[in-house]
Amino acid sequence: MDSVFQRIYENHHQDLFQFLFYMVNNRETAEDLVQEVYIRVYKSFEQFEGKSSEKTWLYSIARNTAIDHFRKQKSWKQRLLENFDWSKNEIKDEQPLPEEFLMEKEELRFVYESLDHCTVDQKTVIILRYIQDLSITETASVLGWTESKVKTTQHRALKNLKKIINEQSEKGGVRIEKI
Amino acid sequence: MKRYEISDHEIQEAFKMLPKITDNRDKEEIFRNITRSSIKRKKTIRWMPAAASIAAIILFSILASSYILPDHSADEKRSSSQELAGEVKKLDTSEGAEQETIDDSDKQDQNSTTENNSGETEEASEEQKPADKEGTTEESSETVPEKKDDGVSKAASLSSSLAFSSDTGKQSYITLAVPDKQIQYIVPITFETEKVEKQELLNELLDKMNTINEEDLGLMDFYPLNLSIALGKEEGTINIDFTDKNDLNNLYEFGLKTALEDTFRYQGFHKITFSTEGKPGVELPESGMVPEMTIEQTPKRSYLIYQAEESKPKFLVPNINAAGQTIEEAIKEMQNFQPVNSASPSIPGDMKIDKVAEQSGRLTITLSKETPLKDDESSLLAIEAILLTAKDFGLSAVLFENPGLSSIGPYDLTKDLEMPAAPNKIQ
Repeated sequence: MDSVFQRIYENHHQDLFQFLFYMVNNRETAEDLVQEVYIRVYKSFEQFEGKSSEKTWLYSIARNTAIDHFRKQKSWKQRLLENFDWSKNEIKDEQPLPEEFLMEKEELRFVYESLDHCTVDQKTVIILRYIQDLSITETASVLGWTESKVKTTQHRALKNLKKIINEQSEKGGVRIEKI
Repeated sequence: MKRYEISDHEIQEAFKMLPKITDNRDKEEIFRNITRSSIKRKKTIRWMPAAASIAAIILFSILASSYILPDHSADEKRSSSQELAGEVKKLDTSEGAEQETIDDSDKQDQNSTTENNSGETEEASEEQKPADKEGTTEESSETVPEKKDDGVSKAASLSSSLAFSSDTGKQSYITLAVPDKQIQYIVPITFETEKVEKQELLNELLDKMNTINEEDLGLMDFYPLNLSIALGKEEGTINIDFTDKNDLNNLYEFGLKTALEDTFRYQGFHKITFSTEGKPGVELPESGMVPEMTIEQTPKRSYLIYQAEESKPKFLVPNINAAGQTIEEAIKEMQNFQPVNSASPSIPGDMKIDKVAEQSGRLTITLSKETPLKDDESSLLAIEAILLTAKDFGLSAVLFENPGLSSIGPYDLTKDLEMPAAPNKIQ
């Protein structure tokens, strides 16, 4: 087995898999995409200059892989008619709730589902910052943004999420108390 | 009553409490999938192909049908094969100097049946009688002439899987090297053909790349390749043109180079030249710009037994992970190899070898008198693995001393054994 594969698998595989899972909300898709990440790594390994850490470099490949996946999901017609902007558009997810969440508290399920009302960029920042536990600096490196852009996007994402959760709560769908 | 409003901090905490998600597949499975998909994508057809691609496909179908149709007339093919006998001699000599020294008018008779490949489709020549699953139907024409003289009938129950070159032009072989699923071994698979002319053999090889079912053999679904393969300008060279490099990666590069080198070594080529859309050289992810690759004719590898799983055939495979040793070391490795990844030793542990000596291109293996060879499959495979290893070291003959048997399978152990042309003959 290849040494590059061995190292990445041991050090980063589960983190990358979890990141992709939360991005696409589907285990099978995440399995395919994490494999695609390795293939892209092999193709561009010599381009990795060590300017960023291996971890953030791998996350940036995983993020691009997920975005390409979303792009493929959009129909040809949609693609021809619009120039899709990932900072403005939401992912309308129609996936059933993954089985990992069936046993979770209703409030947590609701928080998970609220992510899909965010834009792709907002969702990415939330997953990287709060689920994957990356710092602002690391997140900026993954996304190729400035730190202030990360902070702004994070702020907007939280505002957006708060609005959605509180609206839902007022509708009486889910009672959000202290989680 | 005013509802409780969730705070930023609570949202953050809630995300941190989401369940940890893990990939439950094992490492080997993931690696296998990556390897497979990185290779399979070579076969994907893009939806915006240039008109040239369509034209190429049409041209290919015309060419393919033009050499499939004559197959209906075997007689015609046979007579043309005989006419081209001189051609095959030329081809055979380019496979290695050792073969020149062992030309024997009866060599053609050594085309014995293979024992491990019952699942393959029949493509054998008319001379080849159908063999049962154990390969027990061995015709007298399929054994070495010396053995016929012995009249040892028992040995006929074991058949060889090696292809020997013919000097009459009646039969020839093509060999396709297929990686295993982990790209740890490259398995050369040999098919009989009646084609003898170089271009015809290449066409046959390209055809086989399209039709081979590697997974039936327990190997990686590797072929066909998204490459143009043609005879090179110089004699003994082959040119490989890359039209689409988008999917090249280090992993693919390694498997591809090794498989191409092994495939064309057995075909008798000594050099592969590369081009990209007709321009010389190809930029590979790991090696950088590669204009050509010399095919090492004596790569000095030991041969092991490879079997993906019990239901799949056994193959003799070169150990590509350890080369460049002496023949003595290679023989030792074939016996002491620690079984791993479906590969196992080719020489049984109880076969005691007293001495391994090489002189003037002839390898002498002195076996211990206390442990005579058994007339069984494992002894036959050991002998064949030694023959293939000797060929890889550029030797021209192998003699077994104190074998305890006068013959095994098609091999007369009282005399020098000639070098095979290629391993793992299947039908």
